[in-house]
This record gives sequence, structure tokens and C-alpha cells, in this order.
Amino acid sequence: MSERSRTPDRGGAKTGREVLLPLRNVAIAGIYASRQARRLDVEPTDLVLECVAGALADAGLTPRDVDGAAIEWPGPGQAPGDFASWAVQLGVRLGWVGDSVYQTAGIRGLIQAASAVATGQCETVVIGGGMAGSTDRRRFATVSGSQSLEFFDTWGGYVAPSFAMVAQRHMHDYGTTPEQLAQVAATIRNHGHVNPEAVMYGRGPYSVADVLASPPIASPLHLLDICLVAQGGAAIVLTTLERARDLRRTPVTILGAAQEIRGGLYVQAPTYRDDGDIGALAAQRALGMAGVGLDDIHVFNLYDPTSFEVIRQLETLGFCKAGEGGPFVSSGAIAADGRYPLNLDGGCLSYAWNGLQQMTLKVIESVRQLRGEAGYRQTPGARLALSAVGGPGAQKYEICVLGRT
Amino acid sequence: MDVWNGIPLPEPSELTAPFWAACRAGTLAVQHCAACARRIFPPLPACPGCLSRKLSWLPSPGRGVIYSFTVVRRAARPDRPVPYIIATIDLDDGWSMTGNVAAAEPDAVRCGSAVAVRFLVASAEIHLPVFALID
Ligand SMILES: [Zn+2]
Repeated sequence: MSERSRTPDRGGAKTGREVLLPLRNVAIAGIYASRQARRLDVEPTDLVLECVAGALADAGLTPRDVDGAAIEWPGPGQAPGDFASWAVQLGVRLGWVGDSVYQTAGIRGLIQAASAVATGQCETVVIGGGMAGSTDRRRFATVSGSQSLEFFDTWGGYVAPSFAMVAQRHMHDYGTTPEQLAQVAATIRNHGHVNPEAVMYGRGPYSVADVLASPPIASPLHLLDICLVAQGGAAIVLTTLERARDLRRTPVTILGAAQEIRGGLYVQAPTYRDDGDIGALAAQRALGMAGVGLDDIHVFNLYDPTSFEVIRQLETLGFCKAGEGGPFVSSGAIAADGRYPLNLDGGCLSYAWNGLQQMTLKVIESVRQLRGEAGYRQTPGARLALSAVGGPGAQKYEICVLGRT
Repeated sequence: MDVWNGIPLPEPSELTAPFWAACRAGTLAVQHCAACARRIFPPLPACPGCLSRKLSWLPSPGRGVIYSFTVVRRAARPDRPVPYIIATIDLDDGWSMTGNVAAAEPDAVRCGSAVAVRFLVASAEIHLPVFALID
């Protein structure tokens, strides 16, 4: 943003303050993930309605129970883009409504919806949305809308090269190898290979050699190091823990959650020097709020838009030291039978990356594991789960610790 | 928006016009806060050090080293020829920017490679800075 290194004098949020927000009095009562596919031939509105109805049914609630909403409103009818339209569609009076698409998804959405419940603005919130039916056939995520990002789009920047430039410098500094990156991709893709819900179900199994033999996209990343753009939707219902105890599913509580925001999306390429530690502050806060350490947690759903981003998070969050992420993943630590089994649903790399709601899928997989509903991939006795999204490319990080009561 | 060689050409704003005007004159320029002697890029409405609005533009010699880079073989836009290289350049006068590196041999590019800026005439208004490897 400014001078060469802005890390030393970064102001703003600090850790260590006592957290008073009673987020743990808010529970996730309902979840829903639609079918995820390379392309869904349905109208966006149909997909969003399916997700809202699905999450409410999962909770054992009806639309009339909703009094808070951060749900995409694609239209037709009402005011497209204005989530207040849900008051009319659901036939309710809303006490809280989200006002940005970033509130409809992921941990940012979770935190803001839970905060609305925790502060008494409303009792039952739905967040969610979906992407479908567009004529947009991009294979890889780009970031610009109609307006060009002057010092990014001009140079041909998009999501994958941004993450690639951070990876390249890490390899330069620490000797991290393409094989170690490929180990991450193969491990997570193999988790998705056996997940019938995954976009890439049955497309493996993959070896390190397979990843390295896939076409180079943006060095050092190959095709199989990068997630594919797909379509799908998701929704979550939050309510008070007290109310959730009387509902259909085992409540999952938000024990700790935090964000770290360092700038607007893709204004320029990130650097490992300035952005390599993004998430450290948020993780410290979220874990501190939950009063737990990484070794207390049973389930990890880290952000994996690229293979390297997992290595970066393992170092930044403290699974291993800076520079040791490569050997750490090569040791098998993140495999299903490893010390920190990671992204057992196949993550962004293989289950789904669908625009915004892929961030919600990171929460949903943790909830499934905590409820004991993860089927063949159930982590035995899972009581604490960590989900995270964001990274250097996006200049933001969002993380939460969820627990089964 | 004009496109040249698969590159969406910038439409300079009031904030960024001095950068592109300098490019037209064959010079790389960087925003500068006189109050705290800070170089700022990409440009901002106010200095991130002292919030001063009194910012000017300084010419930069345009020489530096590659901090990191990527050789892109699948372009953001289908009309842009590949491969192309995106890099973070650490300029010798103490600031950094993202830009393109021109290299006959992409595989010769390294973190630490020395580069110097030159300009490609994309349109009457936009002369694009591009960094070339130097010895
Ligand atoms: Zn200043």
C-alpha cells in the first residue's frame, strides 16, 4: 500500500483485550449446501431459494421464524441487490439485514449475523446465496467488475498469479519445492476424489507427479495446484443457543471468530514480505477468544484456493515454523490419517469454489463434522473445529473456532 | 475501455493521472509526502503515515530488482498473448510496484534479477511501463 514494508508500523486492531461479545451464546442451527458443479443450469434465484429453504428445514424452522437476513437477492422483482427484499419474500419483519454481499457468506457473514443475534437485533438469521446459470465460462477466478483495476488488471493480474507470486518468494526464501506444493494439492484433491458431493469426485486419485505434470498456469502453480471455478450455493441459519437447543439439530456454537483486513481486493499483487503473515492476528484472536490452542482442535478446514496457500497458513497459524511448511506437508501431517487432517471434503481444490459461498462451505464442513454427520469422512469424537478463508491475494483473512455443546 | 494487445488500458483518474502523464514523458513517477518523506504506491488520497493531503510526484530512476514474479501461461483475458510475466519490483529509490517484465527467456527471470523500466506506446494517452532485465 505505501512504502516497501508496511508491517512494522501497522496500526488498527490489537490483540489482548478482553472479549466481551457473547458470540458463544449464538449457535448454528441449520446448514445447507446445494449441488456443486462446474455449471448449474438453474436460475440464481431458484438456487438461493433452495439454499434458504434447505437451511431452515435442516434447523426445523420455517421462513416465518426468520427476523434477520444477509442473503443475496438476485431478483427478479423487488430490488435486486437489496437484501431487504427478503422481508417481503419471507413475509416477515426483519430486525437486521446485511448490506453487502460479503455479509452473505463465510466467516465474515457468520460473525456479523451472530453479532446481530448476540446484541439482540434479531433472534434467527439466515445468511447465504449462490452462483448459477451465468454465461460466464471462466476457468479461473478473476476479480474485476466493469471497472478496471489500474495497477493490477493492466499487468494481466488475476487470482492465481497473485497467490503464485507469494509462493514464488517463499520458495526463494526457504527452498520450498514444487513437489511440496504438489503434495498439498494431491492430498486435498484425493479427499475430494472420494466425496460424492465434490465437483471433482472420482477424478483422481492424484499423485505428486500428476500435479507437476499438469499444465503450468502461473509459475510455480500448475493447473492442479489451483481450484477450478464452479457453481453452487449454501446457507446457514443462526439463532440463540437457548433456542437452538430446542431445535432439530445438535447446536454448534461459535467459540471464537475474528477477521483481519489489510486492504481492498486485488489493488496490486500481494507480497510474501508484507502479506505472508496475514491471518496471524486473526488466528490469535479467534483462538484466544475460544480459549484453545491448535492441538485442542479436531477438524481443520483451511482456505485452499491454491496449494501453496495451505503451506502459508500452516506457518502463519503456528502449525509449524516459518519456512517449515513444505517439509511439514511432505511428512503427511495434513492427510486424512495425519496429525492435522485437513479439508476432508476436498476443499476449494476439489469439492467446490463457487464465488462467495465457497467460504460458507468451509463453515458447513466443520458443522457436519461436529454434528457427527460427515459419514465416511467423519472425524471420530470431533468437538472442536477451525474454519478459515482469505489470504494474501484477497488482503483479508477470516477464521472461526466452532464447538459442539 | 480500450484494449491494446490484450491489455485493458487504464482510464486515469484525477489521482493517477500524474503517473500516466510521467509515463508519456518517459519517466516512472511515484507519489511522495514531503511532510514525512514517504513514497506511496499505488497512489492514495492522503499519506498513510501522516494523513497529509499535500502529496506530490517524484521522478524515479526506474531501476530496481525483482522481489517476486510469476510467469503466466493462462492469461486473465483470452486475447492477451502468453506467456507474460508479472513481478513486484523493488525500485532502487525505495518503493515497490507491481508490473510486467519483458524477457526473451522467461525461465531466466529470478527473484533478485536487476531490471530497468522502459515504455511501450499503447495509445496516445497510455505509455505502459515495462521492466526489462539488465546486467
Ligand atoms: Zn506523510
